[in-house]
Amino acid sequence: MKIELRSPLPVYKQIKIKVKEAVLQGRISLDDTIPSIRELARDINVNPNTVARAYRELEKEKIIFSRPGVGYMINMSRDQIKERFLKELENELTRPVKRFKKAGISKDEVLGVIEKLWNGSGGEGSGSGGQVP
Amino acid sequence: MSEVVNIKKLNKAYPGPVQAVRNVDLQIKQGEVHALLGPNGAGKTTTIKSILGFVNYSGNISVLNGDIDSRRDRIAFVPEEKSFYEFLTPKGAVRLCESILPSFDKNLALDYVKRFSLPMNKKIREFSHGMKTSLYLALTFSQGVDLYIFDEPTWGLDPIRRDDVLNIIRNTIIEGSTVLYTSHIISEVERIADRVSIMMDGHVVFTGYLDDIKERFRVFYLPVDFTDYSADQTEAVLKDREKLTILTRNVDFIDKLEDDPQVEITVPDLELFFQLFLRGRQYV
Repeated sequence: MKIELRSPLPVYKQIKIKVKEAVLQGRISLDDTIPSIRELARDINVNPNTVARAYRELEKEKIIFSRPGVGYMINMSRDQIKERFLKELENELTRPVKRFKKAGISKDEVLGVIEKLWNGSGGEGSGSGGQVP
Repeated sequence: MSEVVNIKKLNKAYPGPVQAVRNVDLQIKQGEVHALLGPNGAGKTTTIKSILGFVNYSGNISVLNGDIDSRRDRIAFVPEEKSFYEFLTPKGAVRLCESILPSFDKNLALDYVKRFSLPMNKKIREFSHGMKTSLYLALTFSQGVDLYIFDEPTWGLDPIRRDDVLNIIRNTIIEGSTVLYTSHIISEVERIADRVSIMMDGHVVFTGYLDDIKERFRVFYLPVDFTDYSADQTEAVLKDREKLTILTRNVDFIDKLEDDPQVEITVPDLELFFQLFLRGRQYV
């Protein structure tokens, strides 16, 4: 797991995303244990309270749960997390889509931009640094 | 979370026209690494000295829910200026600490001395500044106390040792202690702190979680002639020849400008946030 301290995304959110991604990519799955707060904090060089905050929220979202004596475990299947992910994507895109619509850009034109980004030609993807997530 | 240090209305004046600390309220929470940032002369060291009872002050400070004098055994402090009995060796210093500090772990101290590659039997007077700092930190980290206070802990250390020290500070809170420290080095603060307070001219002008800065604050770069803002919508405003830079956490203001394609907007990292607070607040 690689954390960017300078990223515009808060560190605890980066941790949350990485955990979800690990499930989506099939590296961990339902009922697998994940590192303890202190292990992960040491591992990725961040403040343990920040890891704790990420885990607390993941627990609230029912993506992980903590079993006394065992640790934190994945509480959701890949499909369920994918569904969540898409829902989040929808939320993130609501504003820009509205904005493009208002500006008179067509659906096909927007899809064209997405297509271009998807194929990695042009655009700077997620590494743009200074932009708002 | 309970407060390990609770400062209410702290005031401290030294002789002269400038007051060192003015009406400072500051809470350090259990289990956090709290970084105190600010330019020289902002009042960071005076605040720390007040917590430790090294200076007279007006206002209220409780430490671990009590008076500092009844809590000294549970606190360790590393000052910016480290003074030692220069005739001692690290070995002798460890022995001395063991005899006077109730919670001192001798074996841990010897481990740290080794880990920091300090010569066990060389006199401290022959040590470089960095070596003295390393030894001071080694002795401090071996105390197993509830609250660690550091004034510029990594100043003068080489990058490898600095890394060690930052990791140890982090492990300290994993063990349940609390850390308050001052620093000039923003990248270090970003790595280990969870909350920061910014001091300027004797005031605490900001306290908050690092992640909350990214979540709540935005920086707008606007044309120089932009005037559609008020002081209560902004935290800092900086004007130069080319542009107007506004730091804000005002939701309405952010909403209004966010969708304007002409406006450049960024999420501040700590460096930008700190710089804007430092240089842009006077114009608000």
